[in-house]
Amino acid sequence: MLERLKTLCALPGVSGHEGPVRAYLKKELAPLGLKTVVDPLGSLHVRRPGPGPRILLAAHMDEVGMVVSGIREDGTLAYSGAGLDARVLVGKRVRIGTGAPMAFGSFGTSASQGSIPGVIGCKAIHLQKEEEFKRTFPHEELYLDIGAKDKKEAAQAVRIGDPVWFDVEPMELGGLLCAKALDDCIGCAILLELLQEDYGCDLWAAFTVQEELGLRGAMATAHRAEPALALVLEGTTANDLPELSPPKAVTRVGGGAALTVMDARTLALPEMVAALIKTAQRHAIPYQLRQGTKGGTDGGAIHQACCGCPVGGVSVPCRYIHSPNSLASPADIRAAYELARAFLRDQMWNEVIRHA
Amino acid sequence: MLESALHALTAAYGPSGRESRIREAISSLAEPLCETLQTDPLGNLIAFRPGKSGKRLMLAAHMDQIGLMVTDVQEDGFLRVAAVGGLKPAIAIARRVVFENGAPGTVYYETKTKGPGEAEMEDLFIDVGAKDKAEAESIARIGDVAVFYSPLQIENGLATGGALDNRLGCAVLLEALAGPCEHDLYAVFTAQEEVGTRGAGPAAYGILPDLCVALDVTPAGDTPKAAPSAIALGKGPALKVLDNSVVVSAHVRLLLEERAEAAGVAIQYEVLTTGGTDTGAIARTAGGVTAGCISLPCRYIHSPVETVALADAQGAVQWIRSVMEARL
Amino acid sequence: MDLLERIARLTAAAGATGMEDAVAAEVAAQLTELGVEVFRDKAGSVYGKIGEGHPLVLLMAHMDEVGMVVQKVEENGMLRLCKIAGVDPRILPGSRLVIQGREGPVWAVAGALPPHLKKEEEPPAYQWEDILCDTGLAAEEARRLIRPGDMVTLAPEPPLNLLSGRASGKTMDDRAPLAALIELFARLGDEELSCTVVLCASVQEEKSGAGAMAGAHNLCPDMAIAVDVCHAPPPDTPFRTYPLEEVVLCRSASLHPGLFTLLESSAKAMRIPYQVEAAMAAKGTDAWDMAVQASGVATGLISVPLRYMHTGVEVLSLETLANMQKLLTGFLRGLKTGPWEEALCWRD
Repeated sequence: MLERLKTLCALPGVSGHEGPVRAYLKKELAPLGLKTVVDPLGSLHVRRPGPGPRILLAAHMDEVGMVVSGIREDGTLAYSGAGLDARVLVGKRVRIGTGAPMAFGSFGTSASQGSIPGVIGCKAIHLQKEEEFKRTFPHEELYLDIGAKDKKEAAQAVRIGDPVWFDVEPMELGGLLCAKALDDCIGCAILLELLQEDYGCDLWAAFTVQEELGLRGAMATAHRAEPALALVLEGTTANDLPELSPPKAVTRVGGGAALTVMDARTLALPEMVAALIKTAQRHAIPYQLRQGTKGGTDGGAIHQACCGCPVGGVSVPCRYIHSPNSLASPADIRAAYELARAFLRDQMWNEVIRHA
Repeated sequence: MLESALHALTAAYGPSGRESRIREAISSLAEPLCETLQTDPLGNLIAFRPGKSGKRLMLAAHMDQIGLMVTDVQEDGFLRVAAVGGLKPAIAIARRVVFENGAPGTVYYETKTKGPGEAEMEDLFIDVGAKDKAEAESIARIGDVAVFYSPLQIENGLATGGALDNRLGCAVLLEALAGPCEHDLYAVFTAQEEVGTRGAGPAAYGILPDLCVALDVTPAGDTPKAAPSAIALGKGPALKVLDNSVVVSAHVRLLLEERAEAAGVAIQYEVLTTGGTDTGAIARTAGGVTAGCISLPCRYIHSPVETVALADAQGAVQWIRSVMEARL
Repeated sequence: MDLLERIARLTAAAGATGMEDAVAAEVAAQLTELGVEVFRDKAGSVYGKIGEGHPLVLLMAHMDEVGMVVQKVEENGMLRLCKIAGVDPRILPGSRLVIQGREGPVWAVAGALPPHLKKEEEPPAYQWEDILCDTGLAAEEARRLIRPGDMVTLAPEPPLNLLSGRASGKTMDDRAPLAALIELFARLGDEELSCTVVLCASVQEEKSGAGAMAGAHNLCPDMAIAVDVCHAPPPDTPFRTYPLEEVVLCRSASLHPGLFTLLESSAKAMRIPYQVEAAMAAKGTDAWDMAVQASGVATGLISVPLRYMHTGVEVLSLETLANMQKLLTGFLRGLKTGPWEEALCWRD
């Protein structure tokens, strides 16, 4: 599972341009012989039809990233992003996907094919006035530089709308995994693993698109699946830094699978949280409760679709989430997988779904 | 009848997402008035009574209230909190609260560097009188939600207490339910309105009514230097023209106006620029639902001292009953 | 009826967000005149349908305008206003407005307290609390005719022809593109189309997107294209603005890349001057809401550049409107069963 996770993290998968991730997932799913469907927004659906209630498992394929939104006279590029704080972009290497948009030829399925390198620079400190030291560079003052000497040269290399992603190879750092896009390649890797088994329910797995733009793939997905219950597999914030209280830390790396209690888009029903805790305790799986209340997951869209359903969130703590170098613990990832698996194998949905 | 229902409902515990007790309280009052009572996947309570016209009328009032959720139990026995719904830190300070298990607590803030007006939610805590973490955890744990402790008081035709938003709407709905209805009637007590009108859309999706009328409170502007609002206590229930979530269609406005006149109820007109209601969520579900809202004037919303005029509520009851008998 | 006249009829109707009945009636009348099948939905949007079979293409332009309501009638009969959506109070003072009152439209002027001018300071910007709406009526008459909740819109002055094929008026956003689409329908109606085309004049784009949601949800189109306006440059805004003379196609993470490619191919084939705008999340139009309806809808966005958006003097190019019509005509004629399905397939 960890090897697959590393492969996933290395792929480009910016919101709206999830193709490379989707292609890899399809390839890995092929040996299972399960039918895969891609919906109009690009979400990948895989089913293990069966008796019993419809259980939806969701993980999102997209990572935070940018698109080229303009070309300046001096050959540098302007970009438009979602979910990215300007403060983590300064001084980073990126790749820009080139080639024709899909349908009449898609751009490459690996990070190096069909893409060119770029960097994100800012005004050198030597050139700044002292008052400027205290300011954050806003996005408009960060320069995406591909080395073009003028607008004409840049326009030959890239198009308006081309995706831009962090150029980072996964590595192991002191026992932790360091990579981009842990949010939510972790969820995708766990879901791939969960799909290897049958759980005696009508299982519907969705690898969604555009979560980072506002849970968009999930909206359409939930309408299509109409689940009786859903579990969302995510990477979540861990700010377990010195002097930060637990609610500000949200979760701790090494503290086990993190369970959603309340975030900005979902209020987990008490019976769902109770069922997950019971499962974790029964199988001695390390777990923690998510103590911050900000952020959102696909669960926010799923629980309100059609007539509504209970949603559980099982997440893995990631430090420096939404940055090019995020950290997570393989033990936490394993715990999240095992918790989701045990919940399904023990058919814990029976303790959550209301019986009319 | 309205008053006794109001006492029972405002006393019942039910913050967003933890509505079982208020649901029970409403169920026992609704049971004699309907044919079936069901709870849907998100916790909405749906009371159904068949009618003769072949049309479906949905009446919706949210049953959840705002609260404070425990996000951390500290070593020193104090609890850290986050708001469930639109609860402002300054309003929560120096209040008494109560948990589902009945345990009381007091809300205060870190006095070292700020005054109460500048305190943010992260500076607040609940004191349950525990000396350490273990003792505190025997009282409340992460995820537990406390609500204002503010028993209802009725004086001079005005009712004051916590949770009048929207137990008043629920009481009005229950009272109206006692009257006859031409249509298949779905009285829905919705869940999770305070955290983003989350229960209402899914409830309406399952019912697909021909018309839905929601019931909620709306801020009155009749107190000193209040945020601008033409609504005043005692001038009757209000016809919602618009709020942040919805613009009510001309057709529904006309129907509601005509029904108010038929019932002899004097009404006000509500234009709300700060805040949304279940009405919007319902209007936008399932490819569009015809929806409007009857609003109950309320002072000091989202505080323990919410204040309403019972006469306005009585007027709302007559108005809704008139809608129940209307041709759709 | 020429295009500017069609636009004038639409912009003359008072149809603020959520209160579109008057403009809906005008749209329905225009479509009926063309012999097109017309229908409405529960959200209040108006639809016209031509052709048959798949693909089912939904073309959407919103008919609501940025508008206000009366919030309060003061003791002296003057009115306090608040916006429904999209109105900047600073554009109001000195403008003529129309209120839909008990007995019909009432004209008024927007005024504000004159600022206390100190020679060195800049006068402060007007906020909603400063704005007063004056009908000239005596207090009792004002109270009789007008009440809180009544719709208030910019006065319906007919659009002006300016130089260089440009025109200016209220509510060019989005009734000018809407008029162009209705005119397009007139032409397409005589053709043999191998698809179904539904034109939707949507409601509430400026506030909640309720019309877009209902339209896409109820029709489940194979493709949906929103036609709206975008910004043409005033000085000093380097990006996010486009020349008045070019049709703008949006390439965005929230829109279908295959549909973008089809539209771009049509622009090239019809030799239409166009630009590509890109945004990670293309919010701010009906396209954003349509894409996530039902089980997902392949959605595209075409925009016409416009200056001074959300004022009474919005400026756009009539020639660009014509080019937009040409682009869509080429696109619709070109849809035959095989390639369009392939174009929308996600090939990785």
